[in-house]
Amino acid sequence: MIFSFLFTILCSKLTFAFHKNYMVTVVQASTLVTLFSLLLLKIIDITVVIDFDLYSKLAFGASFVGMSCPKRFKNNEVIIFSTIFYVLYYFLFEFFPFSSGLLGFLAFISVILGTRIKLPKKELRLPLKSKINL
Amino acid sequence: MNLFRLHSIYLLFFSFIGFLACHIMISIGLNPILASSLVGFIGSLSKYVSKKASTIIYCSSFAAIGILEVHQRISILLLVPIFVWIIFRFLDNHFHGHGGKLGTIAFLSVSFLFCLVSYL
Repeated sequence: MIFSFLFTILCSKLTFAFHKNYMVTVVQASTLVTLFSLLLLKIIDITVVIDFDLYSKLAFGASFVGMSCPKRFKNNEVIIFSTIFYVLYYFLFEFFPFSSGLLGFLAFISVILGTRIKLPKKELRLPLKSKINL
Repeated sequence: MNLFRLHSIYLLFFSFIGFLACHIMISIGLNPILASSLVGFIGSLSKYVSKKASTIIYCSSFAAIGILEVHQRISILLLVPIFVWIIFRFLDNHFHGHGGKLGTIAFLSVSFLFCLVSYL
């Protein structure tokens, strides 16, 4: 379980870093990370028995989380988003009648929830700013 | 936003391309995630495909991943890329930079099909 969690964070961070530093489009970053992780998982699967289906889904979903814009979100925020994504995947994935786009939907919910977490700090700062302006 | 501009129709064409390419790859027996990634990657590398078109190719390939769980007939399944195109055009200027937006579009379009199939 810990390994799968770390794997999710790694995939999302890789996608994010790829898009941020190497001037590739978000689609290219996401697909490259997914393809590379699938290749890696296949190699590991030959030597060690792992749940290939679970890890491939996590890699795919985490790459969606990493597709977030680097200008809008920071590195640490992506870790929060991928943590929320992992929790959502763990508890909600089996309850849906079909899996088309579900990983992306869970990634989107985790990004939205992650951005909501920051809100209280901003709300606390607002009255101070208004006082200074006055 | 006008759905019937030339560029918009061009996006609809690529939505069909992405969906069908992924669907065919899955029907052959390829891993669905690998199929979707390959379609997205090839679409994004092509010189003749714009950035937005490569995005809609990747988006409609998500929709094709588990579509056979919803319905088996291809004539009904071909409604999905149309739904993807419509939702993609509507959400074009919203949620900029939010990860998972494309997956949500795919999920919503398959949900529409699921509701449609359930009522029919």
